[in-house]
Amino acid sequence: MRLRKLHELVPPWTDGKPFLFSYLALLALCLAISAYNYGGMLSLALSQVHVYGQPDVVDPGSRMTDFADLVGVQGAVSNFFSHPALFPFLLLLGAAAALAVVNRLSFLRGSRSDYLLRRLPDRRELARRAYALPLLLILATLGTMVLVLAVYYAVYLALTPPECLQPNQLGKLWDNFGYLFTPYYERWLP
Amino acid sequence: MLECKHLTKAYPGKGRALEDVSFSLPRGEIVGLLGENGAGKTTLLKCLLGLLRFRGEVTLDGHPLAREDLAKLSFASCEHTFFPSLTPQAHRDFYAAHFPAFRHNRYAALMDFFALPDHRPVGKLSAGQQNQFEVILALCQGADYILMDEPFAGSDYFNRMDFYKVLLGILEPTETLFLSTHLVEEMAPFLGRAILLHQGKLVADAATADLEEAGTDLVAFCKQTYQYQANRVAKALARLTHGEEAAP
Repeated sequence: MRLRKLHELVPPWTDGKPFLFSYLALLALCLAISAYNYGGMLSLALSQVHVYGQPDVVDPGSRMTDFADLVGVQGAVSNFFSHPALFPFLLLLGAAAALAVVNRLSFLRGSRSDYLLRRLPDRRELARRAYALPLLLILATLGTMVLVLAVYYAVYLALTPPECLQPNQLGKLWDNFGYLFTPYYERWLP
Repeated sequence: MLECKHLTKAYPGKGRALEDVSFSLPRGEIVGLLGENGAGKTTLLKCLLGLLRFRGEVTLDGHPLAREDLAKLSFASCEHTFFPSLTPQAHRDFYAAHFPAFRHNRYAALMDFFALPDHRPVGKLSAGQQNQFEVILALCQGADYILMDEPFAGSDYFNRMDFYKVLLGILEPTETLFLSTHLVEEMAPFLGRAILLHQGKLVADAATADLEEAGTDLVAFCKQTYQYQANRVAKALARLTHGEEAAP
């Protein structure tokens, strides 16, 4: 399987660059909003483990907010996505999914050009031109979210006073995703 | 030879559009697909191309029509299959990239014949020009079987007559043309054979040479096959005029 060029992954009337540039611009905007939101929440959480008016003095016995709560409320993956730190990426995922729909419908606008693509020797031509780029953008967004989480976690560890850090931070973060892997009939068991 | 065997197509909730249609298309024939509106002509063409699911079988040279065989079939649809935002030149490049047998010389000659602009998006052309371009793409793909669905709609009379002559001149002996049309009188001199559909069923398959030997022609044969009532116009007018006289 050969590596396809960008213009082979989009409808024939575009070279794909406008889509790509728009996505990168939106991604940059999402990163900026996410970083701003996370920075605000981290700053507030740090202030709560320090003595009021003395930002360099740790409040004895205080506990730092869990990282999982800074990027999403524990217990539900939906809350994870609706949290201010990562919500912008959810919108970007939605935009990429909408692009897939728009691309597919564009072959019905003004003509039935899907008939031509369905007659081509490559049976995947139509699906590739409609869905490949949106799928890549979705994967890129999810990958960026993972990287962003890693960066946010590194910052969290670097700034949190060791004596205030609660154990099992990654385990608590993973619990947010636990719902994805829990059979539906177990979710409401007492 | 392209063969269609016991082809049946039903649309959910709408009944059968085609019922047990069987025929063959040898290489080198010009075959007309005739029928009233809703007879199933467009559905039949789409089934042959694999654009619709159907029951039955379509074979090419004795083998089920495979993906790699689709390049041997081209299609000019009344719904148009071009990309409206692309120019004719971009279409030529696209076709050449995907159909190795694309006929560049024929394309240039037909574009010149129809005087179509090469650098304007096809969506911006007139309806008649769009139909002409659709036909050009089908003729230049390099296919052995050229399927057309009412290709001359929107073209003026003189353009149509000239195009029929050009068509006869450029088609090679191995190219088969299978086209649906309502222009029976115009197309009759150019057709070697006619397949008639009525309410989804194949009601006749006649060679024009055989019709001539029998002392009839295609138009008369169609009228006979479809049981055309020659006096229906007179009846309707009589009813209308008598109705007007009876009104107070």
